Amino acid sequence: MIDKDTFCEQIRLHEKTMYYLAFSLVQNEADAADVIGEAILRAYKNIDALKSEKAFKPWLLKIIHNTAVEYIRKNAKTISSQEIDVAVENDIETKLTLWQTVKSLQQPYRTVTILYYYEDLSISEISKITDTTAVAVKQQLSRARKQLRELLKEDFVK
Amino acid sequence: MNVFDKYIKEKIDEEDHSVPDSVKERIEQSISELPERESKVIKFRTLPKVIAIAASFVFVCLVILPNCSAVYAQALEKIPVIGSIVRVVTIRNYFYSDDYHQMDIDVPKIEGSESSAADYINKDVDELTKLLADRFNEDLEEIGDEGHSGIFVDYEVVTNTEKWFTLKIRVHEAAGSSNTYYRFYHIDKVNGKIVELKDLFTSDDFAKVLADNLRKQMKKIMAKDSSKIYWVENAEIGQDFVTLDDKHNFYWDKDGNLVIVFDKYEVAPGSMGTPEFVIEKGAISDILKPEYR
Repeated sequence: MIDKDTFCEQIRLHEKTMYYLAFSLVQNEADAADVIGEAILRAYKNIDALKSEKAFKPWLLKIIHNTAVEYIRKNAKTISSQEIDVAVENDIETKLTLWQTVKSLQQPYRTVTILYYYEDLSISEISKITDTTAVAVKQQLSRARKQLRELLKEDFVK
Repeated sequence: MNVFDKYIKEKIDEEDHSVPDSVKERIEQSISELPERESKVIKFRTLPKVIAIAASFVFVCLVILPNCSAVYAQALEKIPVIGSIVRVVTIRNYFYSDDYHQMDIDVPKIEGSESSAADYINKDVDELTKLLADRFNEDLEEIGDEGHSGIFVDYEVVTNTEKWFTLKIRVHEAAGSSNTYYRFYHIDKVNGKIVELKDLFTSDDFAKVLADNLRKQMKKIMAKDSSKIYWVENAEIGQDFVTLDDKHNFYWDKDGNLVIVFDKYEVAPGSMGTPEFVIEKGAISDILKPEYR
């Protein structure tokens, strides 16, 4: 069992990963902050369920994922996909950044892409966090790659 | 890593990915609101010591005591033939990835057990995975960019107790419509033998008893939820797909119940995935062999 100081230390250590995961699901900074805040509290309440310090990161990320999914359901916000599309369109003239392209992907490709490429998590870790199978994650990644390739083809060719 | 993945990684490195201040502040705020914890019992660091003591105790029992006591030596005879310290490792991975074809096959191997059962399983798994990898490579050459294919194989050690071992291999083919099927391997550690479904039962009736049970369960599910479909005896279709053979897929769940597993499309349309059904102990206890009750 870990104490409060170690818990806080671990939280701070994983702030980037938490943000990326939460953002990939709720798609804006403010909601991501809310999700993270709620998830930290939940994680702390359930700290006894954690079997070892080594398991902290995947355990924490799973809580973030579940919290975000619940948050989306509760708020039933129509994801401001229109805003995102507009943003992408405006950038067609200028070079699309990878991040903008990734943000424009549909789920589950968006989350899987972020966890795999940005956070260097393994297929197995991703499957545990998103509560699905390794086979499904591989498939999703394969399709995400295809989409990204299509969207980035001009830049990639160069 | 393929070229595209390298490209993605490079682009990620070029971009700025700092966490926004608002989020950092929120994290600090949440942390500051956490109450203090009461410090409790054992910390992680003491655990290895506990395990070391337990292990040395086991060693003493197994090695020293039998020599001291005839009674204890007799008790030893009942200890499983195959050590419970069996583990499975991935000895090989066949991997390929491009825009049209994907292969990711993990090959497991049972280690820590010198038994013909484990050897047999290792050989079978080796052959199966090699066959799938070869087939993929042939298709790759033949089809090239004209089509897509995907083959994914992974595994899970479903059970690994003192008495029983179950390894589950999952094969997922993704070409056109996808297909998923399983291979289960079981070892009864007490007698060191490989077990198939028929070996659990005292009579050949088992197939019918199980099938009847499954059909009942399926019909009940369909009655409750009209979106679920199983290909149970149906006057319209005139066919029943619920038949089990001697080697049908199964495993034991943690409560000791028998679970029958179906491949995709075996008893239901693809949308139903790979259904599993728990057979309650009471339903089969009189046809199960005594050692499996």
